[in-house]
Amino acid sequence: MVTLATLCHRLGGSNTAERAVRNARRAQALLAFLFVCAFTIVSGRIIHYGASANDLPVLAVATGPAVLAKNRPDIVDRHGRLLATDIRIYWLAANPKQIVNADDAAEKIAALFPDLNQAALAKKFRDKTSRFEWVKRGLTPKQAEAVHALGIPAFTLFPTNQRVYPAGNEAAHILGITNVDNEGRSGVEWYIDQKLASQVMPASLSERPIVKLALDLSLQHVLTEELSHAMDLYRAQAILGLVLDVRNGEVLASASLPDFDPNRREQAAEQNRQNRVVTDVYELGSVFKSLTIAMALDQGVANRYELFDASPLIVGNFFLRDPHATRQLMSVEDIFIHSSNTGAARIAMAAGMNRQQAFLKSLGLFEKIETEAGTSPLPVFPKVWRPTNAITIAYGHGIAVPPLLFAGAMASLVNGGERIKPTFLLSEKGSDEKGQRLMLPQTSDVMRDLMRLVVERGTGRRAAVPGIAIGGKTGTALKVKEGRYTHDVINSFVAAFPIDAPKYLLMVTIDEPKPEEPGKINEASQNAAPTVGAIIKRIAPMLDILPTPRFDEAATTPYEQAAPRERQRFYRRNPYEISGFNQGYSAYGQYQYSPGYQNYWPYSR
Amino acid sequence: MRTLCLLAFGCFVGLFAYTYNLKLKTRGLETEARELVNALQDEGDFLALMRAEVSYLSRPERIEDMARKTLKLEPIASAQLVPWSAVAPGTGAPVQTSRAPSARKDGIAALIEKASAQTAPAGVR
Repeated sequence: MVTLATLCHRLGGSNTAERAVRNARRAQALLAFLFVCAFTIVSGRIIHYGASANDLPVLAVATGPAVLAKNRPDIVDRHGRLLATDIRIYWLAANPKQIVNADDAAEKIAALFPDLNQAALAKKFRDKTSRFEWVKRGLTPKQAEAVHALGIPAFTLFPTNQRVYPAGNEAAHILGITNVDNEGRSGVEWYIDQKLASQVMPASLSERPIVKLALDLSLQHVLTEELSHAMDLYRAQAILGLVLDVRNGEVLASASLPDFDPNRREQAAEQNRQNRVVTDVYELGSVFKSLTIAMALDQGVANRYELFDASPLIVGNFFLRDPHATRQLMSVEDIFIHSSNTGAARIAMAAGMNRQQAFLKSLGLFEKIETEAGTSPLPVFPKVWRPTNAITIAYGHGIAVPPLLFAGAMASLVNGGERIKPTFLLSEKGSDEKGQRLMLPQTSDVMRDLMRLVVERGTGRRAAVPGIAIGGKTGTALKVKEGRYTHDVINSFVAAFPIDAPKYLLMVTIDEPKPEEPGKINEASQNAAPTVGAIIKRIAPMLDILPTPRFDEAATTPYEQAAPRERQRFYRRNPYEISGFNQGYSAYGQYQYSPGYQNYWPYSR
Repeated sequence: MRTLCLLAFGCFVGLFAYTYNLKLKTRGLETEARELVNALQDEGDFLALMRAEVSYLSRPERIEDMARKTLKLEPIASAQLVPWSAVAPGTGAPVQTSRAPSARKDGIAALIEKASAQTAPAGVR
């Protein structure tokens, strides 16, 4: 204050007492002003700090612990049962530089985790140049607590996420696997990362979005169990099966054995663990006759009672004989029911190669199928379509397709002729929405009836289940190994049920089954068909399939009124001895041809 | 002047005390919030774990084994299912049963039938 007064004194001069007083006043005023300024600034800062929330330290913990592995949405089945979820686990790391007694620490850790090698750990911990070493990944909260209780400050626990699959092996192929960073590597997990990542990535572990699959865990379990039973029974190399909703293409269950446990992702890399339903192509054999005959019916090449020659067939140097052909002439119906190769070949010849190609193409059998569980390879089919190709493809050889693709085509055959796209997610298609029409509804009706006859009195008899109307087709294909056909077989059975108004399609393919007992026949009718029967018997009640009212209703219907099924059944037997033509008493009346094919009729045999 | 100085100093001290107090409180709340968030996180983690556990314990494989061991029941067959119409006449397609006309005279049976006809949705088993 003195200095300030002196300053004022010097500035103003202090010649007179009056001036000295004035200077002192000025000095006081200046001082007061400076004080006010200082107080104002300090007060302002204090108020600022006290009042404004922005400058307060942010709650760093609110963002959660550092996320080392990705958060993933839960995957649930169509009824909301959990198939894949994340749990909190810990990764244990050590800072060897801070470890005082390396051997002691290694011993303690090895005591907690017997699978770790103590000597290797001790060696790691003794390396004082290193500051970071992973000790173990995937600690459960209890294990993490135990490590924490050791009280060694050199150990750090990183909380992170790990994918777990509570259902174990069930649906492993559809779900796929994730890597150690929790990124999807195959199946739906991969699809989620690729296609849904922006929509469904969760923020925290407890509140997470779900991805709902079309899968039904109970069905999946039954399918897997029955298939594994069949695999043991027939000592097969592999087996696959799938249940498809024929109306919207939802895959309700899909199994491929041998499978793996997605909780142990290293198993997925073992041999033969691929998802055969999507990623393998098979020559499926006689099940293809359904397509050949549907083509012939749809395009007006033949009707179901038309007679075809089933005697051995020679085209060029290709000779085809048929052990199933019981007589020289067989009707289309009998060719299908008894699965005659020569008959099917002659039907395809009558239709011609162009129509065969066009029909198979319209069913999508020449394209890859892209699903949420992976993309299939391109089906294998001849580049140049020769008559021999047409003949072999008529009974399912010389064309190899992924089973799921074929099941989709078969679904179109029984659902009234609409195209469907197999999907593992819930379908967006409404129940009344119509798909692309591939064939006449009448064709589908006839095919359903033929498929029913196969189970009633044809090759599929062993698939019959009391009370449920099943239709199906067997397929025994010779297996190709190293480019040659062998005596090993791939047996398939495609079934639709209830066949009056099909809702579901079940396909089973057994790779290299052996006969149940030595010397017995090794055809689809003997192994694939009973497997399908066993599966349908168990899954039908789960799918709310009521027993077909055929007998019950017939019993309660008054005599004057024809029984609902028998009304149609009565005229079914066509004595093809009279003529190959429909004599006008078919339940289906005169066959309706699609307008485009009128010109081909009558064709020359 | 002195008054002003004292007043300002008093103000200063008051504000200081206020800010200090506020800071202490904030620290306390912060700690509390951190604890709560941690607890929430732990509970969330636990919830996720328990959900996984429940799904693991109720997987069909295990339930089936247990059912086979403890229950003396057979798997249901389709033949055992009947449509609603068979249980509650009038809701679905009519089914003629021999006892139907005589049973109508029973007042209680009529009540039950009436109730089930109202509650049972058509077409549902």
